[in-house]
Amino acid sequence: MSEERHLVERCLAGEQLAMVELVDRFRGPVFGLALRMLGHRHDAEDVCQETFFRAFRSLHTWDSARGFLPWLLAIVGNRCRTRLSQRQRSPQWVELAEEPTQRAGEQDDGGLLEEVTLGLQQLRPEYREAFLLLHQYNLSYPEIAQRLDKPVGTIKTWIHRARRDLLEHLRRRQVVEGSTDAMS
Amino acid sequence: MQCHEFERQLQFWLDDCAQCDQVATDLPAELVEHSRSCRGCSALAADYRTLFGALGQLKEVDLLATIPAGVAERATVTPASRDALAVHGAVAVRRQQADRSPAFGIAIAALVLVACSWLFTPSPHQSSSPVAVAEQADATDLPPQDAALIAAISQAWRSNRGETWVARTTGGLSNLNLVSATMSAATQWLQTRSTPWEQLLQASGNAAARTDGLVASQGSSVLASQEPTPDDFADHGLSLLEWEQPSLGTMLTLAGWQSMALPTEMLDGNLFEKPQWLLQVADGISPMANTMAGTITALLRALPQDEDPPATDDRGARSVPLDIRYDRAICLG
Repeated sequence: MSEERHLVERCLAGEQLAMVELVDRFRGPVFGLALRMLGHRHDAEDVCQETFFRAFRSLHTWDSARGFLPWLLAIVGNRCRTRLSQRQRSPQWVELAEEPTQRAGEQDDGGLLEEVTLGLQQLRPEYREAFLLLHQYNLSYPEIAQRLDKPVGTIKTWIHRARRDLLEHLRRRQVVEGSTDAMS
Repeated sequence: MQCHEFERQLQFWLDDCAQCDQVATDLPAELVEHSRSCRGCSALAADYRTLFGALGQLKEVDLLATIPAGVAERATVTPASRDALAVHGAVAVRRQQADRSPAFGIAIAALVLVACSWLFTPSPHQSSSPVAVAEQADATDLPPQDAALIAAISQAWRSNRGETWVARTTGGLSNLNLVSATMSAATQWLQTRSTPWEQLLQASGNAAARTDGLVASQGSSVLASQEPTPDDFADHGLSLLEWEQPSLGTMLTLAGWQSMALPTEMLDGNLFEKPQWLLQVADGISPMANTMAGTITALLRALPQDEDPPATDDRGARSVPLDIRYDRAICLG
């Protein structure tokens, strides 16, 4: 934490190398969340770029008592939601998702990962964001609740539903072979 | 234990353990005991193991370094841009997966520096238009020595402030003027650095590009000499769409570059929408120099400062003017 704070302080002091270092350190998770949220590389690049712009503009507002990454991921989430809402108002581009070529018992890791990625895209955006923040970025429930401005109970419900929907997707695609009875 | 209790406890356990790496393997003993006697619950637990195993692997994937095979080509090639690229015959296209990640990162870093220079550097008020700045860069006062200069111009145009500037630059100046001025500067800059560019091509391992070379037509560059007109585009077999929404590939083609070893999505993408690609092209030739910050500062000081800064919230701010926004639905159609 102190290292992050020091890095931010250097940025606020106008040290340009520190700005590059900060971007380099966090662009991976920022781009990753954007890509998982949007499912489109070009949009994710744009959101990544916008996120860092906005982060630097508001750098002085960051509360150093809290983690920098959760703060940054909250900006990514905001930008992704904005982008998703813009998509709804404009003509839709077609996601060229490929049909799985392998079925349960014979899929390799790549096929499974592709199916999970596809399943993530089909979750409701708020479920997806909460789910990713927990499972991919290791934020705690209170941190997610704070960043998404929702009660912890709501976040737990969203994540539970995300897991359920994701598992249901995998079953529908015959990637796993569980009983749907237990999901109800 | 009943099945619904198993499900409930499993969810609690997932909540508690989701942030460790044990999720996919170690169920609590009482859950294991029940799952052994219940096929449905056993399957449920197995499915979650599969899911969480995959999620663990997803964490390890470096998204910045990967491009889904074929997706970029399928999603971005348009008939207009394909025709444009076909004008000059062989256009070497190669996806540079390995190079993309650092280039993109550097591009973002450069653009962030642009923003930061604007944020942290007090600048006097001046009223030059971005077109004037670009033209100035094309002349001698502010030579395009650095890729960041190009990125700064593109980004300035692209931002909300740039939208205002464009609106103010009436009197016959169109959006394309800025792009052409920018590309003119970029082209001249590229032409002065042929050797590193050849090195880049060789590094890309593209045999076709190496054979054809990157040939700049001497004295025939439309962009370097004058502002392009619709007739110029027509002379090169380019469509009205390309006139209104030029791609990087089109602009480079017009500038006289016969062959480019660049990813398809970069050549076909709308330059308005992807200024960072322009930087990537330049950045592939020469890493950002130490003079970048000074160049950016000089550029920004030449830009008007009397506009309100772009909105910092998420309510309604947009980074690309809608009227020139590239529409992917049309592309796919």
